Amino acid sequence: MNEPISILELVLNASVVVQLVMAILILASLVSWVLIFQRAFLLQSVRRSAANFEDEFWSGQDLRSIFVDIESSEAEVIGVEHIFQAGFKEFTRSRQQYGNQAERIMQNVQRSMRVALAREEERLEAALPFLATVGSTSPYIGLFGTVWGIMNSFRGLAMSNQASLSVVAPGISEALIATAIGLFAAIPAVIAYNRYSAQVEVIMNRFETFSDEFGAILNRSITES
Amino acid sequence: MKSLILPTALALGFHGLILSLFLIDWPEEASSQVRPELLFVSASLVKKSAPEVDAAQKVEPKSPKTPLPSASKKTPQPKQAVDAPQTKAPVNTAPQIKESDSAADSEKVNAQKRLDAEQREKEVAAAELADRLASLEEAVTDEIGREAVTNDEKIMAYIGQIQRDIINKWSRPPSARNGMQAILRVRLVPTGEVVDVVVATGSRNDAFDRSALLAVRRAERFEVPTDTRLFEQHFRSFTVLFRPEDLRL
Repeated sequence: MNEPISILELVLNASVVVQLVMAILILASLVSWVLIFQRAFLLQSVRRSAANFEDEFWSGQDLRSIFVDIESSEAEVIGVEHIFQAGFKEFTRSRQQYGNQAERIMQNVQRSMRVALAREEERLEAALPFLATVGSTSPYIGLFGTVWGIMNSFRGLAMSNQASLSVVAPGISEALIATAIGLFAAIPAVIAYNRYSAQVEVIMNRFETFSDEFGAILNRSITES
Repeated sequence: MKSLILPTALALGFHGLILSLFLIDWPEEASSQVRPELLFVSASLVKKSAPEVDAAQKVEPKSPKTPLPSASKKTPQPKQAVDAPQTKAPVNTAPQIKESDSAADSEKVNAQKRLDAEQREKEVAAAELADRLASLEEAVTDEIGREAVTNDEKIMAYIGQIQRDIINKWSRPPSARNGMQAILRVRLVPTGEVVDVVVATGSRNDAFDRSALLAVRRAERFEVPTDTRLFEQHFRSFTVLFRPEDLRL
């Protein structure tokens, strides 16, 4: 009875280049999964905090007390709270400086909120380029390993005068593992990239809407007073 | 940094899970894939050990007649046929090993050696099993799975023997060239005698075809399994491929 070729044996007998390719791909897969999980947690927490904050914001509470709450909290300020904090801080500062010059105050407020928005976007999109790179290149890396392995096994076939399938089969099998790992790394990365970039876009739209609304409220409060 | 610990643990766990699934799943698929190749492997290795001439052989199962194995038919020829491959199998492996050593610079030499070793083990095991099977035939027929394994090996041994017989009797004409091939259809009776041999696909070289026909006719009689079911399935009618591969021209 022919002994089944174990996968470990195949990997260990592969040539150095193929092994290197496999190692790179496994590393890429590991890192991309770490990022996938990390992104998932981050986006979830941002969404939850945004929902909570907007509830609080529209409940008619005094803006100053909300601001004090945020300032006094120990946790890192992210998402909508960050935008609110930046806008409100700038608003109070400009109010003291310029009094009732609504246009000037609003210019400063909007600028600082834009900066906060850009920061948030940067934070949300941080790992996405890496996922995109893994998704688009790892099939090619795997293919490279496979082509290299098959090249070698055919060279071995040319050297041995016995042309049989069993001479090349293990080499091809081991080489194909590289493509398999490449696809294994690429597919989740592509899915995660598409999903997360869509989610980030939704969240950013929400933030922009909030910053516009918040700006309108502040503007009204200046003109009313 | 702290926020990375949980994702890292999850990713590692996920990969470990996938890997273990892969490892658990692997051997079953591999074994079912590899087994049919047995027949091929042995044929090509035997082919290589022939110094000048080459005859690869394909066995074409005829339409399954499923004749019932009758106990009375098996008993008349008890051991003679089964012993033949057992004694010859170890001898035949010697040139294979030597050849693979001479090609020691090739990268795949390890794999090849392993294959050769497996091959030899297999052949010895096949012969032993065949021997045991002859004495315990009735008991083994109950175990369908084991019979399937040993049948493959038995067939392999017989095919190798037939190939060697034909190669020994074949003398190629001087007009033989690389790339020529002739396929002959051979029909046997249960005692192993050749009753009919015709050229199924000729090489368009009459001398070559005739030499192939002559080789089979001169062999006259082949060792065939005493098991009538095996014989009917694989040896009643089969095709032989004649192909010189080592010529300079």
